[in-house]
Amino acid sequence: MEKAMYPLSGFRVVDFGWVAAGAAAGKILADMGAEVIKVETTTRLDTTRFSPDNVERSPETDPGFHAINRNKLGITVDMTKPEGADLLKKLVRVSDVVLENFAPGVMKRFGLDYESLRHEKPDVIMVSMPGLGSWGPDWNTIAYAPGIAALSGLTGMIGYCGGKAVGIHVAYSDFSAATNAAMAVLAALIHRRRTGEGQNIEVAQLEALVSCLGEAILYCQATGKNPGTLGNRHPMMAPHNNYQCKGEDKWVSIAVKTDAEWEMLVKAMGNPSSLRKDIFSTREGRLSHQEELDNIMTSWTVNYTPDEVTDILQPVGVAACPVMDIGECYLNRHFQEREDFTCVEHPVTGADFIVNLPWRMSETSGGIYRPAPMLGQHNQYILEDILGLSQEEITFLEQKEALK
Amino acid sequence: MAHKESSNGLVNQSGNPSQGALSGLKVIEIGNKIGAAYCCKLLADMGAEVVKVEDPATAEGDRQEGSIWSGDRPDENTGCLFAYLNTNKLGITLNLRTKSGKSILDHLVRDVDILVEGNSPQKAKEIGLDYGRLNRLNSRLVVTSITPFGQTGPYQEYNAYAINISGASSASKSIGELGREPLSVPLYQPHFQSGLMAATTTCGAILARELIGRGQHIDIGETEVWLTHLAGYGLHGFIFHEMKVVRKGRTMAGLFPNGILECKDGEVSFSTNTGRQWKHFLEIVGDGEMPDWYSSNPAYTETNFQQLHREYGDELRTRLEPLLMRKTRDELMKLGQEKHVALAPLRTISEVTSDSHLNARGYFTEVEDPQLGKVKFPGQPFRFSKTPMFIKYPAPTPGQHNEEIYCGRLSYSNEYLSQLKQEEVI
Repeated sequence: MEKAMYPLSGFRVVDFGWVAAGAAAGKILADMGAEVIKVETTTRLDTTRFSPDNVERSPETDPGFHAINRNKLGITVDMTKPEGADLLKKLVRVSDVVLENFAPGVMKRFGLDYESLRHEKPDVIMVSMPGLGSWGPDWNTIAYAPGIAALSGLTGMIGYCGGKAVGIHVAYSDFSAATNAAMAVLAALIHRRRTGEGQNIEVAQLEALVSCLGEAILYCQATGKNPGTLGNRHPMMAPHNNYQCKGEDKWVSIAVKTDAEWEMLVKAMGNPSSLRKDIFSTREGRLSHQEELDNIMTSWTVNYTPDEVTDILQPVGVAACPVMDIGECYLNRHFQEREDFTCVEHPVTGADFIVNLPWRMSETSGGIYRPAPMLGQHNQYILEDILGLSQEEITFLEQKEALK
Repeated sequence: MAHKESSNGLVNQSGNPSQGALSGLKVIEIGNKIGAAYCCKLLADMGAEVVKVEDPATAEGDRQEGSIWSGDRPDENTGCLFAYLNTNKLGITLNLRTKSGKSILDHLVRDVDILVEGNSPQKAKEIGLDYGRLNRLNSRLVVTSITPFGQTGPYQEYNAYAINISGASSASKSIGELGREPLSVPLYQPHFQSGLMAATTTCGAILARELIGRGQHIDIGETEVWLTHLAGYGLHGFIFHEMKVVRKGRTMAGLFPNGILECKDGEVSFSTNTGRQWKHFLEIVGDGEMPDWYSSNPAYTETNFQQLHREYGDELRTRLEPLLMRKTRDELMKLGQEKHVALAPLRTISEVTSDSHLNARGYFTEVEDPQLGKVKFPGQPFRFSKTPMFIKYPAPTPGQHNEEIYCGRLSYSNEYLSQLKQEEVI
């Protein structure tokens, strides 16, 4: 693949990101063609190398690690050794961006915080991604994605309408923080190109979730009410739900906003008299009788597969889509045609199946061009070709156990 | 716990647009799609000048859009979504279905850097937004299109709202209880994450423009944004081990127990990722003592991949909840922090809004909104040391900046402006 046409060709990133948030931010920059160097240490392995789905339990076989670290180069450095920290400073001197998501204060302890690094490289752009931020009363709170989702108010809104919260089972705060961090880096690069000025950036993972809940924050102040568990209900759309279909755990999502869409839905369902009642003739009526409406909808959808319902309703402009798990997405004709899944060769696993980039750019799209690095895989290239170290210097670092 | 007040020079919501990282960039946002609006809010909050182009026929109605079901009175809405999505933007009205409306758009795009839109490919063509045409008008223009399924493929014209995107991207199927309907991610999150990814790639295209000397077309499929967020693990499990993600209510999959549990005065989220954390968690809820049942079943003590939770989840819940009922949310969080165990209360939105930590960080900014009055707006999660982020101006009223843009930027006469108004073009 020709890398010269990527949006970030020529930029270099030192990626201290570990677990999910930091690594996923580095992934976006790497997908855009930046040379991203993932800094790891064998003395304290990235826990993402041993996630629950890593069935083989080798540090080189974790599917999640491979997905969020593809396209990166890997170096092992023990930054707790002074020689290791010095080496990393050298690397920053020839880089544009530094990215980290350790607890606040960790980088400073090893002389690798922004204030120290800008002496090495005055126009460096550094982004840190602490859980709750590096200052403020709760700055040193330990929190993982589920805790951050709970603190943000998101978890409390996910549950059957009026029922108990069930929460979200993916590391949403990590991904929201990662994209925010990548975007902030790109904006800072735009500013640097214009002014020559680098800067320090902080993306607090808690805030990266709350900023996506702005509507609720304003709603709560405007009405004095808390949203509570929302289920699949919508204040302006009915029907608006996932409806059971033919088969085991098969569902289709259907949402109707306008009277015109409602008309098309009823016609496509064969004009059943149950839906031609007065109570359903206006949006207000449909919203007031959602349970009854949902039951009638289900008595129709259970006769079809999710794809069949979709094929009946989409041609007449009604929003209906299959509710899929990842396996069904993988086999879906639309995602197949868009090449949304790809396979990268990997020296240990043989092949990593991963989801492709979530964007297409007509001129400089980016791409997946390299598997995730094995521990220390690119030490030699980085030390010799990028930093120009001699064999003696490398041997010295090895003797000091700085390359572990 | 040490107290830390210093912000390390990381400023937030106090600057001016001219100091923002993206100051000098001109953006046009077409229509009122949520993903496009959030993308442009991000650009505007970082200092870009965003002109939001609204259809005069639907502008009022678009302000009523919202996603929060209050249950009291259907169809009640407060305009909170619009107010949030459109801070710092200039607002003009323009009917793109008219001939003169289209030619005015042509004037507008000649001197802007970015155009963001969310119409289906067919509709975009009909209102003059096909990329080929826009590129001929301004070769340096970056055009960002955000649609449910992207610009190509069999679903490209599909009508889809947030619930449809959540379901089609594999998000819903893991939320809720098995045997009941899957639940959508709430509050238009699919649109928000897509807008965020769109703003990211748009910044990438602005950098690339210096490299290649021209703009380009960015295609964001909202389902694909969620797929990449969710499928890192599940895809491999599906292909190699026929594993399926199963909805298990408040119990989460993991090496060690994770999920939501009830306590004395509410609910807490807890996640233990190692055997040590799991043990510490039990010590906390058992007041320093390990419960008897801990060593009676090896499944409770050993890492057995996801089996512990899949098979013993409900049993564990009945054992754990009586222990947690003796403590409050805040006590549990405090004890968790001492032992390095992640335990956090499920907070309500009003608790988040009044949270002392977020407020001490200056995260919220008070803005006088024409519809909502004086309210606290969340800021952005990124804080720059040199280029401030700001939330200064409330969302524009329909056509609020017509004169400024049409007479100021495009030098139309006041007479022509009145004529356009009469012809219902603006």
